[in-house]
Amino acid sequence: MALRLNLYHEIAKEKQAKRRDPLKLSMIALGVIVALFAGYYFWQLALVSSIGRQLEAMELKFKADGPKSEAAQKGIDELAAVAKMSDSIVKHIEGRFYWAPLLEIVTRLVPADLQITKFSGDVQGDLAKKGVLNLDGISSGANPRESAETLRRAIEKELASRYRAVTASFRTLEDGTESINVEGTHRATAIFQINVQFSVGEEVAATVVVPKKVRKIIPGITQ
Amino acid sequence: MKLGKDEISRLFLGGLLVIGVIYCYFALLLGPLQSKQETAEKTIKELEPKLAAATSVMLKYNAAKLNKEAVDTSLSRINVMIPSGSPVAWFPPRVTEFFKTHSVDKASIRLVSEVPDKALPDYQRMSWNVDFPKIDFIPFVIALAEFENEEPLVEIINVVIEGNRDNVETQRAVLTLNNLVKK
Repeated sequence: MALRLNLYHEIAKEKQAKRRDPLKLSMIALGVIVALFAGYYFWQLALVSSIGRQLEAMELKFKADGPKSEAAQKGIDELAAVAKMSDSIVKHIEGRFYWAPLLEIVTRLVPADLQITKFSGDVQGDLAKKGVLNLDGISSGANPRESAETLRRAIEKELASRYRAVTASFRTLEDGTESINVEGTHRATAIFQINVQFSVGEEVAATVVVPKKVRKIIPGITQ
Repeated sequence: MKLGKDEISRLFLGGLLVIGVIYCYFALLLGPLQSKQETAEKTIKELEPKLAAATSVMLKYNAAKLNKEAVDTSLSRINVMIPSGSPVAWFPPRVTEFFKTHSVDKASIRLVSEVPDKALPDYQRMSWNVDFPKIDFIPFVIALAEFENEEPLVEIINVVIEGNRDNVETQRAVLTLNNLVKK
């Protein structure tokens, strides 16, 4: 076996020592870490600047749109007020109470042996209207009271088909002091006053009555 | 491997330097960047709903503008029905003339009240009392029906019709009516 002598062992050892120098290794590691940190920083910087650009664009848009939207809001309010007014007028026109059909009904229902001496009616309210009619008259015939009653029922029935909550009642129904002469025969008379109440227009929502707090009364304690 | 005193002190100093560099990196570089990012994101979050609201308001306005034409037409149609000038000057002759053309000759009209309408700031309701001393019931009701149809801004709120004592063939009618006029 041949004997090999390494005459450069000192040089090799020195090279190896140089290669495994902890300072050099740590400097390399530090360099890598610094590079990573720098990379992360620049990545963050790019991200922040992109967000900044987005914000700037939004601020510019808001600066431009803000006054426009304020003006638009003002315009909307004005238009809404005008639309509301127009709507109110249309509702006012459409919700009017027409008297001619009512008078036509009353005229149609009054029989020949009965005469209305006074008709008065009142309809008040904006959308939900309350109506009151008063019909003063005189009826004649074999049974003048029944004629008046027939008229009251007929009015109630006929108006109920057109209006809501119709009630017709007699305020007075008395025998007349005078009799009338119809075609040579004397007929007894009755004087009546019919009161009719009804509702027309939009129905009003029922009012909710909140019950009052019930106070407990304890005997012996004055409240 | 055994470290000498000099090497230990170098390592210690090196460690301190690394810690310092890391602190500076986070505190002076990344920290402000992150706070800037947070502020920007917060501002964006605040701006987003404002911008959305502004856009929606503008869209609503555009939609309302489309509707404006219909509203204007409706209002102008109503306004055309109201003559200019004082209602006391034009309303009584208008009513009298109307009923005259329908064979109801005499009518006296007087103003009862002027009431502003809360729902209609540009308009007011004028209440009138119209007295027809002598009418024939049937022609009068026909005239009244036409009057109600032709005068949409007038609402009759009270009607009294009674037989004339001096002439049983005729009646007397009194109407109370509200008229919508421009202020």
